[in-house]
Amino acid sequence: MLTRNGEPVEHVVPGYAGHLTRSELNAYNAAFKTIHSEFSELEKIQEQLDKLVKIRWDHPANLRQFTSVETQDGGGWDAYGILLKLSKGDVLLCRQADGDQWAAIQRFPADSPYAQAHGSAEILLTGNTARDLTNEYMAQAQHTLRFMASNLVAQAQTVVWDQYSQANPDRVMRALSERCAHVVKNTEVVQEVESVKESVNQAPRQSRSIRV
Amino acid sequence: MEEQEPFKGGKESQLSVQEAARALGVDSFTLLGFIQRDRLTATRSASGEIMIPESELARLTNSERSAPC
Repeated sequence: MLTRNGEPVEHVVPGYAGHLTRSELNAYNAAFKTIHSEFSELEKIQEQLDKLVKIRWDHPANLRQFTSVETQDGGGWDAYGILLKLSKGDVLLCRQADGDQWAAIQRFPADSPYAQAHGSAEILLTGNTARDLTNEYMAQAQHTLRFMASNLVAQAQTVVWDQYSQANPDRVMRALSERCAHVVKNTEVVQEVESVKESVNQAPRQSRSIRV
Repeated sequence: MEEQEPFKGGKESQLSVQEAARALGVDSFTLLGFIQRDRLTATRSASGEIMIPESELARLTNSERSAPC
C-alpha cells in the first residue's frame, strides 16, 4: 500500500481521482463542512440548468401563461416559464403584457431588504424571442455558477491553510476544487484556485477589488 | 477576471457572500450575479474569497434606486 508522510494513502473522496491520507481526509472534511450547504445549492442550480437546456422554448406547448408580474417601473409581464428556482425567489420567462418583448425576470421575497428598496420583481435580460433570451440567460447563469464554485473553493482554502497547513494542503485543495469543478463541469475553478494559491504565497493578507 | 484599483475603504467591515446575501434577503447565487452585473462592488481576500464592504450593502438598500437592467 502507498504511504505519504507515514500514512496509508487509501481514502477516496467524490470527484477526485487520487487518494488521501487520514490527515488529508480530516482537512478535506473540515473544509467541506464549511461549504456544504452552499455546495448543495450549487448542485441544485446546475441540475436545473441541465434540464433547462433541453426545453424547446420556441415550441408552443412549452409556453403557457401561468401568472403575471409587475416590475417596479409599472411594466406588466405575463410569465410563461420558470427558468430557475432559487432558495429565495425565482427567475421567470416572461412576455410583455402589451408588447412582443421577452424578459427574464427575477422575483425576490417581498419582505427582503433588497425588494423593499428595488421592488420584488426585476428584469435581468430582455430579448425578441423566448429561445434567444433563454439561451442568453442560461449562459449568464452558468457563468455565475462557476463564479460561485470558485468562491466556495476559496472559502474552503481558508480553512485548509489556516487550520491544516501540515496536512498536505495542496493535495486537499486539489481534491476540493475538482469536486466543485465537477459540479459546474468546468476546469476554470481548478485553474482559478491555482492562481489564487500563487497570490496567497506572494501577497499576504490584502484585499483587492474585482470585476468578473 | 479583470482587477480594479484596490479598495480604499480602510478598516471598513467586509462581509462574506453568505453574510451579505442574508443581509439583503437574497441567496448567494443572486448576490454573485449582482457583482457580475456591477450592481455591487466586491473585493477578494488573500485566499481569494469574495468579500463585500458593508457600505455597498447600505448603498444598495438605502440610496440606489436606479433601474437595474
